Amino acid sequence: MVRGREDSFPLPTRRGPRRFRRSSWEVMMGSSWDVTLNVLLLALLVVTALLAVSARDLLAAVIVFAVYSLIMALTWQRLQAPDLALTEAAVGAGVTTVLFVVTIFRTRRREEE
Amino acid sequence: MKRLVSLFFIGALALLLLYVVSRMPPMGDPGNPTATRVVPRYLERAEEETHARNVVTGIIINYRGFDTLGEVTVIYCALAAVLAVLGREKRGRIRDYVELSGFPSSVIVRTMVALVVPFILLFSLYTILHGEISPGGGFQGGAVIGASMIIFTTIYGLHLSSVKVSQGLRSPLEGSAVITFFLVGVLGLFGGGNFLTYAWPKVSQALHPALVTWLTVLVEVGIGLGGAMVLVSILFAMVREEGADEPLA
Repeated sequence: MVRGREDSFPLPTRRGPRRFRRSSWEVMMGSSWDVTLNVLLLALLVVTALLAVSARDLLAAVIVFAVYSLIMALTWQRLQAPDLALTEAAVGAGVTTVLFVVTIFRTRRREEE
Repeated sequence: MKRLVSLFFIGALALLLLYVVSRMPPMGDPGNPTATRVVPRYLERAEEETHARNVVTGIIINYRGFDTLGEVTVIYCALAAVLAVLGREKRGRIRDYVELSGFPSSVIVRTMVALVVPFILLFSLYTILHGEISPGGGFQGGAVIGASMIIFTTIYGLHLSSVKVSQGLRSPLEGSAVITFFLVGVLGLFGGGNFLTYAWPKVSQALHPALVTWLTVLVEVGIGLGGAMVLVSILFAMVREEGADEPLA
């Protein structure tokens, strides 16, 4: 790695003076406001993922999955990946949700027939 | 017996994958080759090697061009599979549940959609054309176009949106992503570079470097239009009601 580039990469380095070293927790989390937001996003992500899997109603599962995609898009943005955030918001929350809903309306449960 | 064989193959595959994972460099270690070689190379030399000011675009289209070529092909194959199962609609006479239901959607929703959709389209064009400089690009902009057409179709019905984006417009453009990407990639071979390199050594030094940038923009436009049309065609094939091809009485 080129010298003088250490502070441009947010990676924990073993070399360098003490004040430039950051623990991996600090690198991952940042300041306390960031910690709160990140923990909230990740907790919501886990909750919506579990809800989407465990929902008995298919339509509810699809809607919760759209919420999951939206939170995932926010998480991508927090991870400084705006390309992925845009894709996730458009494809995950928009296109696939509508395609799933259309599929649910076009198919029938076996008990109803 | 069948179960035993499949169990054996799954177990062998699991062992192989676990072995490969155990030999990979530890994740997040600053000393592994991804952090020491790949990232600095991309960040330092992407602009001169790919002539794309947005490093992510340079990586996606140039360094990892084969990856993107595969993705583009996968999207096209998805459309081919959907059309093979559901079939393409007859020209001009298609309906969906919005027209058949008899309940018109609310005036507020219709007005809002008519107001919002042009701005979504404008944003998607910005995403496609500006993707060489700012975050975004062909695929993202195409997905946004597809999303705007989905909004329009769910509110205004399939007939009107199939008039707006007709089959004669869609079917030539569906393959444009694969075709543009492949053709511009092959051009790189004649320009003295490798397949899928746009910053040809001969051309970018002898001619104008902006030519390479314009090729990147061309590929972005191709991917964007192709992706959008594929999404719209899949949507049209799925929301079309069977037996509704005949004009309503």
